[in-house]
Amino acid sequence: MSRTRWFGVLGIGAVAIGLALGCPETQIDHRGEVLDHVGQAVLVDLEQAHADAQALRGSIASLCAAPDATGLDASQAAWMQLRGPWKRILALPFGPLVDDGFDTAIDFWPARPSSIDGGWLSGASSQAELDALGVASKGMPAIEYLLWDPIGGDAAVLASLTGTDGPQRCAYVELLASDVELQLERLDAAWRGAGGFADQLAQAGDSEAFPTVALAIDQLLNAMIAGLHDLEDPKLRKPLGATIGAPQPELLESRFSDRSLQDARDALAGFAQAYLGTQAAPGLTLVVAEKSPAVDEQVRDALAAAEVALADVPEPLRTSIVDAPMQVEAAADAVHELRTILTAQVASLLGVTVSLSDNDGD
Amino acid sequence: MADRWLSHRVDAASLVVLRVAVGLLLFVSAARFVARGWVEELLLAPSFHFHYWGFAWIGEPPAWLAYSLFVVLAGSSLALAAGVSTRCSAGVALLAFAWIELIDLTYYLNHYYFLTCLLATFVLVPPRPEADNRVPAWKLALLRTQVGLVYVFAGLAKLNPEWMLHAQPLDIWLARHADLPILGRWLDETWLAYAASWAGASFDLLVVPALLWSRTRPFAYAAVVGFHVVTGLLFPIGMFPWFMIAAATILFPPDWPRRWLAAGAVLDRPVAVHPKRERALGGIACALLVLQLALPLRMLLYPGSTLWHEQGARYGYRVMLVEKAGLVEYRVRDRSSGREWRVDPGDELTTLQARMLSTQPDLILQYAHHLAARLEQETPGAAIEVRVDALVSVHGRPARRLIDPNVDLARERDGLTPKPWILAGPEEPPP
Repeated sequence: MSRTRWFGVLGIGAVAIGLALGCPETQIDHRGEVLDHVGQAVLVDLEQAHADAQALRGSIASLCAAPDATGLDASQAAWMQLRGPWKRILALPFGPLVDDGFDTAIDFWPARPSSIDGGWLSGASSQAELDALGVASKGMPAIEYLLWDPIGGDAAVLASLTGTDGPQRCAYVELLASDVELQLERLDAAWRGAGGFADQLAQAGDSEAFPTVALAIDQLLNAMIAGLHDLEDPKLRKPLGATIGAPQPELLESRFSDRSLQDARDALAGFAQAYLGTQAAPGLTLVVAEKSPAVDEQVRDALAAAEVALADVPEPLRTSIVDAPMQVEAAADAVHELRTILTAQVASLLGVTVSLSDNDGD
Repeated sequence: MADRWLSHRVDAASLVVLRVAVGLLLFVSAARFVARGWVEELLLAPSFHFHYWGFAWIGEPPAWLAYSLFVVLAGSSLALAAGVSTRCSAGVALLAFAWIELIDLTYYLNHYYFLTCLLATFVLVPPRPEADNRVPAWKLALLRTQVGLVYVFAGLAKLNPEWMLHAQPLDIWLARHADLPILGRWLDETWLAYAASWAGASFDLLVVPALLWSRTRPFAYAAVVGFHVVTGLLFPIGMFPWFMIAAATILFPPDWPRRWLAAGAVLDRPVAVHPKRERALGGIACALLVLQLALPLRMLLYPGSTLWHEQGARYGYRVMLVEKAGLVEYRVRDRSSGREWRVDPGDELTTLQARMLSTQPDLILQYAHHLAARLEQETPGAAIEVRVDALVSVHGRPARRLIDPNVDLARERDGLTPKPWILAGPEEPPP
């Protein structure tokens, strides 16, 4: 090699070493931190949901031991209590929640009364027998159907639990509550501990599920978008009559307990938790704001607008889709606006579209 | 002069190596497609397929046909690599590959298009030695042009303000890999995105002459390998890097493989040819090349940025040029009843189809036609109008409407003329 070439090679080497060692690190990659925060927030909700499911099972057991109005109220309150953390968890449909079918196992809706009636009429009395039934026969909507009667009220429910078929119905509700607790326990186990999904998220870039951090961010963002779609379309637009031009109350979530609107608000709270996080543990906002404070501001504004629009819908949603369709539509539009910003701008900003393609790119 | 060039003969060794490499890589591609479950997921599962213009008749293949196509492709690829009836095996591979490609427009990839053209060239100009173990120089030139134009057009496509002045989309894409060890800390740096953008454009534009010139060839090929390996690691571009690393060897001297072979070793069995027929087929291969050279230029006929409106973008080797995301929702109105409702294309399409549709006007139009036809069939007497709310963001800019929301797309025809219902793209710089 000539002297000139030696100098050339040495020069290039010196520049490379200088770049590698000398230049300050100006950007800090916060994505791993954000993934950890999101995972931890879900763990908190899972813990809460599991505790609430235990409480629900206990209160239903008491109700069935001596069915009365107080016991029914307590069971209904326990069911309502469980919905909060559960809906927040469901706002991020990814990981074992979806991959292992916990979402439909715990919360298949709209409820199908015929399938639920078929469940208790089948006489299923053990976990194994319940496992053999389809998801439409069990889960939280089935418990709701058996604990509420929008027409006959609590008196009708108590009558059904104390009538001829009462013991069989009650045994079935107990079994359902036990199953929900079991499913939540399993979901919690899939998320928690070493190698759990929260750990996989936190270790993204070096974990089996997420060999790159980018992949984990893609899945998180896509889950947030999917959660918003579930909020906008099945929860609001479809019952409003988006597909047939007339209200369809039978498509409402939690239509027996009239918790539909609160379910929607909890779902949005789940999104907000993942996006905003807390002061100490910020969510995706941290990454988006670093890329573009303007886009982050847009997401925050759209989120606030969606919260206001949902709060403006009069309770219950069952009657609002008939009496106040404009407010329901405005809420759906506000969620749509938020989803649009996430799907178009945030995805583009973070380069999410370049990956997650099932096929090879270009 | 022309006669002398036409009769000039060169060693066929580099053509044989190209053929073997392409055959083997095609075999791997076919096996990989099946092994990853893409036959089921991409070809059989969707209830609707976007068709290529003029190829609606291809339709959705039954499972036996879909898998058979891959078996045929894999078998003919191996035959091509082995040099068994080269022209025939290339033809069969071409038919199977093109058929698979034509099933759904949303799966269009530049490298699929390149391979289709390359296989067509193999059919017309089989890469095999003739009786004297050599081939006419024009055959080598045709294949070199076929490979070289990918780089040249990819380079020309990068000469746009987004790439050169804003370092997009690399600024976004490289930052996604900021967690990589050692190199990662630099990938979030804007200056690196600029350096990579300019280097990428320079590479594409200069690599062909650099591979042809003996003094720069070793550096150029090292750059080819480095470039494709790095892009293959950073981006989901599947087999493309390996095809290009193999294909670039055609720009080496025609006898380059002999440096690694014993003197007098035979690379492939020579075949007797009819010179006149070969020249006639070579003429068709030339026409195919001219077509490939002309097709990318049609984008100049459409006003506005191709990155935004995508008219004239396909068949142009515009590789990895834009980061776009969008959300599309259809608004349907039945004139006969006055009823209006919304349709989310995600209800019928797969995630990948919906994603591709969300930023490509011709796919949006095609689905609007499908929607109108389907709904009119489901509701006899219905007269369906289809409008669309399509919001698209390019390189993280605020999302804006891609399609005029007042136009009834059910009445619009697809064609080569500029689509007046595509709205103007953004003019502000990316954030």
